[in-house]
Amino acid sequence: MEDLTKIPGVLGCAAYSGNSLVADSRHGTLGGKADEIEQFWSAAASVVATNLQMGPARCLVLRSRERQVLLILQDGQNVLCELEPRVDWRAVAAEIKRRL
Amino acid sequence: MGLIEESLSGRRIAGLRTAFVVEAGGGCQHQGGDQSAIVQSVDLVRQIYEIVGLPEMDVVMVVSDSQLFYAQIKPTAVAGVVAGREAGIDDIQSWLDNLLGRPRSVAAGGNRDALARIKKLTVEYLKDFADMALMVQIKQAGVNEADPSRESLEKLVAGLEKASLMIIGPSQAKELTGKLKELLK
Repeated sequence: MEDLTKIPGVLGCAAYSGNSLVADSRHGTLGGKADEIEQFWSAAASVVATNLQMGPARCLVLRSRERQVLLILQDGQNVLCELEPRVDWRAVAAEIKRRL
Repeated sequence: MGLIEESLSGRRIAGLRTAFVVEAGGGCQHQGGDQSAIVQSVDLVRQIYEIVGLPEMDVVMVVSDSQLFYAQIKPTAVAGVVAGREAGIDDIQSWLDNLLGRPRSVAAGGNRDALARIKKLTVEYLKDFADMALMVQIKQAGVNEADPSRESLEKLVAGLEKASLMIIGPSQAKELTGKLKELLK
């Protein structure tokens, strides 16, 4: 996977397939529990989107004042990105999708 | 006017379909949407939030091609919206700050929230003995779990104080009781 930390606001990234880290896909810095976020929240996002009749979930964002994580959900491979806390995740998500 | 309608009054959230508050005790208030689907989704979100264990990351968004689910998780309640994908994040967060920042934000469910937190703390301390202790003490204190009175909750805490002393010893019991009494202040 391309090194997405070249995109402004992306601090780290990694790709996961079947909840396992894809070899050599990790770049930059990821915060704590990145693997758990991908494993648990990817499944939850799909269930929530289905329950609430939103159509397929495309991405998930978790945030606090100090941290922001973006999980791009794709068939076969999810991409987790650690973002700067205040960066516009929508703009970053659009740029990532353009590059993937 | 209900809590949700009142708190949304004068605000604009683009493409708003559903707004909801689900208390820790299970009570749900919502505008739009299906209550069962909302509660199921919120229960799942709360479970995953607790499993992953990043308590400071209390805002969750799920985005589809056209819609946005935005929820904030607090110990007493989970509140949020389903809106258009274009909805302003600041607009939603401002509404949530107002809603969840209110003292006893889900006022009608204040005592139910307190009961839920009493149960949670009791389980943390008494572990396998918690269910039995709660069952006995709730009955003895005459707590109506659907609409608990303040007086009954005070009796419950007093009963749990005595019960926990025998189960976990004076030091831990004192710690638990201190936290339980703090909940009722």
